Amino acid sequence: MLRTLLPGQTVSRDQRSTPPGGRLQRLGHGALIALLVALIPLAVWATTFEQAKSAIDEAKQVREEAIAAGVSASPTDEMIEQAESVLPSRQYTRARQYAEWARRQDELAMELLARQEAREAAGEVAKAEVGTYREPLDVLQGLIDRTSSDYLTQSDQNLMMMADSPAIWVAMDGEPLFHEPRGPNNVSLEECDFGKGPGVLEGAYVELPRYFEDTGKVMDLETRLVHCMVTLQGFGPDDPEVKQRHGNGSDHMKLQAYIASQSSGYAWNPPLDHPLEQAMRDAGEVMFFRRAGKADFSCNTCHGDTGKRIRASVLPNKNFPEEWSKAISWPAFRVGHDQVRSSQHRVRGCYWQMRQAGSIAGSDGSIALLSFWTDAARGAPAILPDMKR
Amino acid sequence: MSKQSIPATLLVGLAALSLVAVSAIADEVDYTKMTPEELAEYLIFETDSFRLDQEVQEGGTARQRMVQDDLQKTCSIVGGGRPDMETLLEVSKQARETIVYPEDGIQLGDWERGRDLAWSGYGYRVGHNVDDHENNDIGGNCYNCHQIATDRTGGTLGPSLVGFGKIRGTSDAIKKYTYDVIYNSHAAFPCTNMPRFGSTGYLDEQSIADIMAYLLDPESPVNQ
Ligand code: HEC
Repeated sequence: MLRTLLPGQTVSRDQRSTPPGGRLQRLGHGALIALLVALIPLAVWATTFEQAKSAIDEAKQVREEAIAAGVSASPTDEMIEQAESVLPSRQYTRARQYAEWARRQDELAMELLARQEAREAAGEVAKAEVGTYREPLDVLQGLIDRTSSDYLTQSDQNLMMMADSPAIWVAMDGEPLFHEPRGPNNVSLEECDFGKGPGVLEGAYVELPRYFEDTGKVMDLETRLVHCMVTLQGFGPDDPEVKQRHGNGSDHMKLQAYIASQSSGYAWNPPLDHPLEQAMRDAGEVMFFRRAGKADFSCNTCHGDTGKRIRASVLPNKNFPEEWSKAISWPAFRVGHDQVRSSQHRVRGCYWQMRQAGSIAGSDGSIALLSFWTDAARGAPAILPDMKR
Repeated sequence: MSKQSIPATLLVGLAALSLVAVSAIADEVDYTKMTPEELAEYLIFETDSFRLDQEVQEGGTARQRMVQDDLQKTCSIVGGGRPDMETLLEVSKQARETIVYPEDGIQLGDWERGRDLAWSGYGYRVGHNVDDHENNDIGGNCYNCHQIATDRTGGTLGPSLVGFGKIRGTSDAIKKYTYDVIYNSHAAFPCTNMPRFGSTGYLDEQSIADIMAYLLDPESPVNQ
């Protein structure tokens, strides 16, 4: 209602077919037109009938173009009618001014609409870039095309094998496991909220870890999955479905690979709105740079530069989102292990390699580190599932 | 059981109880009230995030591996980079004080064993897969970060050591320099990424002598 009383035109496509109805709307237009009429100076007499007529024709033509472009019903129709209605009484200047006003209104409306459409198109492109599903190999190829990273290109063999990655099969096995009613409570994981609503998986994984109201905790994928298997499906924490976390045959790897693969191509975007999310991410950053253990290593010792190698392996640089996106794209098939591996498995391996204490999956420490490492890849598209050496 | 069937008094009681419990936990551990450093320490030591009670090869438990000593603390800069020059000089000075020389002087050992150790990453790993020091030598991990000889690919985190002895010779000064860098490289390069193989007891005297021979002995493939 408010909108119809505002001067000017609405530019929304879906209002195009709305009939110019409603007393209020008419009243609004009437008042507006009366105001405009009053404002138009009356002292100019130099306009001829032909000039007025051609101004009106022009306005009508632009009106048609505007309608074709999707500009909805607007006071210009009435302005043109007004212009025509004053012609017989030889008010040519007034008629021309009505007509020109109407034309300018339509031109402006078309321009606004064009801009809005351009914005929407740019949004679609951006979305295609980061916010819609893409095959993992296409995502990786896209990253390779826009960077020259030795880390991303280091294994031709993996690039060739990726389309047939065993991780894809493991993810497929996860699909029925996810959707079937299971566990003592005979419920499916469609009831489980991974942050975007129960059962919503598209783009959910790239926004983990995140704070969950129902537990009051920041949780990563594995921890959330355990939570739902236990509280929703009724599995015990020691049931193999929950306890067995590693290996192609484990429910966990199947489910994690399936859930994560629904985010392939989406940009990493872990939320930091909740104070706990920010606190965990910041503590994770401290942990990343914290030297300790028998060999004085921190994660940054090996992941703070570009193009450095450990033996023949090129190391990913956490300051370089295109590289780091691949680094944190787990689950991934690790060729050397002949198994699909999880983020938590990688974290454990890193602490092991650093000669520090063994990291425990699902712990707040591990989730803090994951919060930081996901934040470090923010904006770059995820490759899920990935393949690594 | 529907909620209505629970007596109201019980509900009130439960609510009161859980409030007490929640506020007790919240009082104790409101993560958002800690600095990032405080929270990191808290997470590492107080939240069952690491297997702190596991025994480690050098004796004691993994907890001590996670406790930072002065050097580790000083050389950990959140966001990267190095401390200021004054601090670096102090790190270097303290590192020099840790270096202990063999009673019979710095010796070159057996370059063949040294090669095996330089190319081995075995040792000190705990957690899910504990390295067995009883039955295996502790490696120096050198190859992970350094290109050492041309016959195998080494890392590039540290400088190349190819031709190390050939370029430098085997004077006492070079032997001492090499020993110092292996023993505690922060003496020469404060806040370096390189582990302190001598002052932390990572490698024993014999292993250091053998690795030095691999680097300096004219017979060693490093110098071919
Ligand atoms: C001594 C060097 C070193 C340290 C310290 C280290 N990493 Fe790594 N990291 C590697 C290597 C080498 C790889 C490649 C995988 C392999 O070949 O084992 C790797 C792999 C990774 C990957 C996956 C990328 C890939 O291609 O496989 C991530 C993520 C990662 N590390 C994170 C960390 C974190 C977090 C820490 C600290 C908790 C850490 N790293 C500490 C050397 C290190």
